[in-house]
Amino acid sequence: MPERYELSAPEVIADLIDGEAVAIDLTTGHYHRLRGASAEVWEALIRGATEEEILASAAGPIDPKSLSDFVVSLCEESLLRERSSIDPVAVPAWEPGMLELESFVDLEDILGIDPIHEVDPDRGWPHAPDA
Amino acid sequence: MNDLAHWLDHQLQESAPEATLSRSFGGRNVLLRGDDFEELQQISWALGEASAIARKPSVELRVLGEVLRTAPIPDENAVGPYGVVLTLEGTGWRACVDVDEGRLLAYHAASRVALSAALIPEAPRHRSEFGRTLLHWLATDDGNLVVHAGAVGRAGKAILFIGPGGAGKSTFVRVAVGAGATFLGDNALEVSFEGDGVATWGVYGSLKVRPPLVLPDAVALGNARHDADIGKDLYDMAAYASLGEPHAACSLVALSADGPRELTPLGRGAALFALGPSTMVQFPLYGPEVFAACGQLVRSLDCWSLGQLDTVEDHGRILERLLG
Repeated sequence: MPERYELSAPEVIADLIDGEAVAIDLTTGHYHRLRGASAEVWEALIRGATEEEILASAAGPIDPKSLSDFVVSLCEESLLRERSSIDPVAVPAWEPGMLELESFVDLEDILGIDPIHEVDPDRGWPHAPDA
Repeated sequence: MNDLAHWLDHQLQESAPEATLSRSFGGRNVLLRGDDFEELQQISWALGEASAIARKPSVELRVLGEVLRTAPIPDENAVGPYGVVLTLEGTGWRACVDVDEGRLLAYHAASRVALSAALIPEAPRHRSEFGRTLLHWLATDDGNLVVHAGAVGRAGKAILFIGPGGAGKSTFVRVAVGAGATFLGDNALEVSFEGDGVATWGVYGSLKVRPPLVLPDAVALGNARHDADIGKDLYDMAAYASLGEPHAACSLVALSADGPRELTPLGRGAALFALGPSTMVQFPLYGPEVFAACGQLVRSLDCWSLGQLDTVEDHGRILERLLG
C-alpha cells in the first residue's frame, strides 16, 4: 500500500462541510458519505497524511487495523490514489470513532448514462430505461 | 475549424426567423425566434409558462427547421457523454446532438445565441430536455447554478425545499402558495451568488403533483391538466409566480418521508449530501462546477431537516417560522 494519498481528481470530486464529507466518483456514478471520525480521517488522508501520522494524532485508543481497513475501502472505491510527495503532514488531534465509508450506488445508472441516447424513450432524462 | 462549426457559423449569420416570443427563463430574458409561431408556442411550453417581458433579451433561441438536414452532424464517435459534440472544443460553440433522432442544440456563448432544431416532431417534454440543457449552460456561464429544489417566497425572502421525488417538495410548495406565498418552483430553481447572499430565480411556471392530492383541504390553485405520460397533474402557476424577480434565499429545508416532525437543524455536509448528487443527475454536464456551487449554496443558508407533515396548519406554522 502507498504511504501517502491524495484525492483521485478529477475523476472524483469531494467537499467537507461541518464535519461531514461527500465524495462522488464521476466515472462510476457512486457517491459516498463520511461522517464523524471518518470525515476527519478522510480529510487527513487527502491532505497526504500517512496512517502512522493519523494514528499518532488520535486523541484516544484506536485499533490500527480499523484504520487500515478504512483506507483499503477508500482505495477499493478508487477515491484515493498514491501521492508522489513525501512531505510530513501535521494532523490535528481527532477523536477516534467508527470508521465507515457509506457508499451509494442508486444514481450510478443516471450519473453514468448518456441523457441523449440512454434514457427512457417515454419519460426522458433523468430516467434510465426500465428504471 | 470543423465542418459543424462552419455550418453553425453560417446559420448564425443567415438565420433570420420571423416569428418571435419572449419568455423569462431563470434570471434572464429569452427571445424565441422561428418561422412557425405554433412551433415557438410548443417550445415555450417546454421552457416554462411565463409572462412575456419587454427588456432586451439576454439570450436568443433560434428555432431552425428543415435546414438541419444540411448540417454535418458528426457520427457517434465524435459525440461524448450527454451527446456533447467533442470536436467543437475551441470553436466558440458548444452543442448537444442526438444523432439517431436528428436533434441539435448549439450555443454560441460570445453572441449568446442558441440554435435548436429537430427533424422529427417531438413532444414538449422531449424538447424540454434540450431546453434544460440550455438553461444549465446559461446558468453556468453566468456563474449561477440550477438546483434541484422547490421554493416559495414572501417579501423578497425565499425558502428552498430539497429531497428526492415523493419527499413532499411539491406538496409543501402547493400548500405554501395556497397560503399566500409566491411560487418560485417545485423542482428547478436558478440561484446566483451575490457576496455572502444567494438570490433565487424561478424558472418553470408549472407545478406538477402526482394525484391524489396530499392535503386536499389546502387552498385550491385552479384547474390542473393531467399529463398521463408522467402521471402527474400540471398546474399553471403564472398567477402565483415571480419568475423574473429574485428572492433572497434564507433557508434550505431537506424533506424526507421519515424525517423529524419539527424543524431540526441540519449539518451543511448533510445538506450537501442531499442536494449535490441529486442536482448533478437532474442537470448534467459541468459536474465538478455544479457540485462546488452546491457546496457554496449550503454554506450560505440555514439548513433544516423536516419530515412529512399531516395538516395544512402544520405547513403554515413552518412557513411562518422561516419567513415570518
